[in-house]
Amino acid sequence: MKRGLGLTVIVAMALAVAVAAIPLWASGTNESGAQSGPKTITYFTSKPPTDNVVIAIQKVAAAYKAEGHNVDLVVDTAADRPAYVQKLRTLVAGNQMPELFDLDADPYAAQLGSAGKLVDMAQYLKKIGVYDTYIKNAIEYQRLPDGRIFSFPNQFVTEMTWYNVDIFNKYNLKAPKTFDEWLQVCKTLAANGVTPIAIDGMDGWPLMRYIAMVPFRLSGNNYITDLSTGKAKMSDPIGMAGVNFVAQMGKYFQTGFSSTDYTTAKNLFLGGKAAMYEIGTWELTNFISANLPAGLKVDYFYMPTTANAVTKPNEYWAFGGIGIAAAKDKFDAQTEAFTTYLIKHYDAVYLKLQQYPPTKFTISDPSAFDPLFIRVQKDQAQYGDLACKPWDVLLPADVNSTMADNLVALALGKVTPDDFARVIDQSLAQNLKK
Amino acid sequence: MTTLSKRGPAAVFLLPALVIYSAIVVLPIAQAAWLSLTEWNGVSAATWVGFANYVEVFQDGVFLKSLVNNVVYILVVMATQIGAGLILAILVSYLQRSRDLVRTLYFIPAVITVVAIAQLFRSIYSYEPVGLLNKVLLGLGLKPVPWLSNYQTALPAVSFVEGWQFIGIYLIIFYSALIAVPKDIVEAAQIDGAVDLKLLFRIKLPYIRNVIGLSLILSLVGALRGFAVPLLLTRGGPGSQTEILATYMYKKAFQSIKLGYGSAVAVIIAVISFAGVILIQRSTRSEED
Repeated sequence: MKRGLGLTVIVAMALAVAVAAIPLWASGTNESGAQSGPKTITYFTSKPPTDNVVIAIQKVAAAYKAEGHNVDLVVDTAADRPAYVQKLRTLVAGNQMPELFDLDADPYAAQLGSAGKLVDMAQYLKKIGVYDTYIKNAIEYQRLPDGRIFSFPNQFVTEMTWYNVDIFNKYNLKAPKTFDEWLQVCKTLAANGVTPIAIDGMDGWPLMRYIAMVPFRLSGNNYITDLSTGKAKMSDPIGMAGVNFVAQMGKYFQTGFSSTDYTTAKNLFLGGKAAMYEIGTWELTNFISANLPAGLKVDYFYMPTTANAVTKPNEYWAFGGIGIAAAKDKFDAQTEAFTTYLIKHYDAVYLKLQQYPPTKFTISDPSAFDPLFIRVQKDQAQYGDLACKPWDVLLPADVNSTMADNLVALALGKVTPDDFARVIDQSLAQNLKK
Repeated sequence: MTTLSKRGPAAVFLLPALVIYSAIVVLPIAQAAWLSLTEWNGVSAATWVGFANYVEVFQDGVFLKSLVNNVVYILVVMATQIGAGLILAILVSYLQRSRDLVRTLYFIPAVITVVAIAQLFRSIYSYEPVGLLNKVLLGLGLKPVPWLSNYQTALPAVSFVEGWQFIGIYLIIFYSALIAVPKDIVEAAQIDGAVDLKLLFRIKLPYIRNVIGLSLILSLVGALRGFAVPLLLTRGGPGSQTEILATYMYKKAFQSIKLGYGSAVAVIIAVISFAGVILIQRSTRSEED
């Protein structure tokens, strides 16, 4: 009985390997024959269906179809950014890239580009004559450190810290202009039992905003560029300035911030439970008067500065948001035609949603827009030359992951700044040696 | 009867199930084992590195922390599932009415998706806005606790959720075993003067010890596969306080894009789980002997 069953197991395994290998044999063949029915183009995004970028893209796709083009756009969304990243990487590893998808200009994009999997977006945008229409910081945000561009922007974003005007007035506080003033504002609020800052501690990137601010003021993007290439260390003075800032600010985040998600953090501020909230203009519609909760008055300030700053006060967070990339092997004539139409018609639709498109625009009728929208747009028009690069698009993925986990511990006071810097330097050394 | 006792027909009947099992269980493990010997980012070709990933894993402080966290996680899950399941089964066995209703109510969490369970407990544990648990504490005059952000409470809080979800399954198992205790043994003990607690501890529980033993092992293997609850509630945080082996494997493979390293962690999980299976086999074989 045992010999027979042993043979059965071997035969079963051999059959299983053969069956499992069938998709590999078949993967080299292309689908042939004329396609009947509409062409389906999938746009895979990390944004929720209610995001204005998604809404605008769907409106443009509907208009494209109404013009007689037999194309259906399927928008596939993920629950959150980490889930999106995991699914995208799985799709890529399984040769299942969607036609269009969100992609940051990070080391992973560089790997995909080097593997020939992405459309050269700089070339494509120039070919269709729109490259020069982009706002400089919007298109530059899509540029990799080596100069290549593999994604086109779908928004122009600036980030600021929103604050509760009534709470500030109650304690005679003014919008801080320096980091020291900011810490003092937080200290005053905390002493009076007010939660100074609401933050999403689950997603990693909001905390990474805080560690990036002081180094940007002290060095522009030079420090983070050097850090990401191994020429600088986290334990260098500029890095430690950022680390110490997080260690100090961490005391002023809401209790339980490490398990607070994006929506809960936003609602903490909008519900009047926290005095400040750092977020970008993609959430502007929450702050216009018509949408603010009753009794809530808000204002904002941009990234404070410090002594010895090499960047100007009108230089802070300004970028094109997570761009959209196109899979090269799926960029056939129909997909290219649709993408061209999308790029050329998207901005007008997006602007009507009271959002800032990535191309240069003028507003012919300001009365059609909320005063807050106009005010921020004027700020954007006076923006300086340099934009702070988010650290999570420059650092290797493994370092990002290590930093995100340890930033929580640093902000909670569970690790010292020196220990934090040591762990990050170790992670950088491991990941940059290869 | 004689047909099935022959090797040939037995092999033919077993073959389809073995093919499917091999394809969906054995083959992925073999692929993961091969991947664990490489460095792969999911984009370019994998590079052979031999056992370098394993050397790195066992020198990785976060991996070792995850291993310790996993032991705590398993202990809390098992204590919750087996302890609460057994106590509730005993109580239900003494109920005169509504036994089916009570069993059904306790079983409901086991069939609810883990995403909904995680969201439920996120609300229960919430510090701000004040969740149910903190409302109870405030009502008792105690200070609220940030259950999922506090270094001391995060891991037990997360572990309890997984344990709680499947209490109903072990309630059903233990209840079925308790009511299957032969009545003549119970009556004989009662004639000898055994009353409720003595009957329970001296007769019923010893009688169902095989079931308890098997349930312990099933709970252990289930806890070893824990992943969704810590990922959804805390993503392994704060710091690495709720990082367990499965979540660490996931982070290394899909966030850090170190698929070879993640596969090495996956192989280690598979080896530990396999050891659990061996334990089951030896335990049941010794009982048969």
